[in-house]
Amino acid sequence: MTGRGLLWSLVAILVGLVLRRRLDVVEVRGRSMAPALLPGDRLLVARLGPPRVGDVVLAADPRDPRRELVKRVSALGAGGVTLRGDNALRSTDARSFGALPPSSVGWRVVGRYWPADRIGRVPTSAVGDDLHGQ
Amino acid sequence: MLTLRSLLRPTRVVDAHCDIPCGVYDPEQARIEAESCLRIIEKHDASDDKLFRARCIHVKEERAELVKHHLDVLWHDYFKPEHLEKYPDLHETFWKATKQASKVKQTLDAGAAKELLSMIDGIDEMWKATGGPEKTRVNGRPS
Repeated sequence: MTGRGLLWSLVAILVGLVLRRRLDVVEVRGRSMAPALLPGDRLLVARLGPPRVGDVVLAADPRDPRRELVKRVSALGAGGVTLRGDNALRSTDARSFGALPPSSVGWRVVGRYWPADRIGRVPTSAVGDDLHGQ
Repeated sequence: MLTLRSLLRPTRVVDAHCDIPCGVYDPEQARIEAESCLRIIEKHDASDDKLFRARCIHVKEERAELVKHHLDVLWHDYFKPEHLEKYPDLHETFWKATKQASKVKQTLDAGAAKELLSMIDGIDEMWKATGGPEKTRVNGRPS
């Protein structure tokens, strides 16, 4: 990206943040998305088109709609969107899964802007941590 | 005033706490990992291959950690306050069992692994008596 392109991107992000309709910023709590996301990470999220497999998205918690989950899309199908935490053993249960209606998934994580030493895009596929490997 | 700082202040907190609970729980999951620990200790003791023994220790520690994880999930996700009324020593039972799993993780004591199995059996009894097989398994526990 050229210097001018980068500048315009930043301007577009700032304008988007003023409006908060399709861009927003959120903070992460919990470790189920480690190492891609860590507690306290601040993320730029966007509402731009449907999610794809591998995307990290925000979704309303089906148990409590006031809560919002941040998870990775592991599958898309007729049954809905299947979300998983990257760090299965830190999740409630490694076997937990749930297909959610696509309408409950709106925001997609674009990148991290804080902490400063980890600014950048969030990896689109999980880093494997296979405890069962022998 | 509209500042960069205010624009970048998170509007909300999003949870990476846990996946959606599927509602499937069974102490058997902890028991299988605990049985692995016992068998690995026996294999370790029967071998004089240094490398194999080192692998045994490494894998046994992983399995013992999984026992603790599965017991924790049962403790804070399956068991509910009404179960505590029925079993006032529920917390004590889980505390002791997870401590025992730590002991199995730290040592090569087959007796400790056997003791852990019997503690998991005790938790299994509570799970059965509270309707666990019918409530949490898809078709009950396979016989």
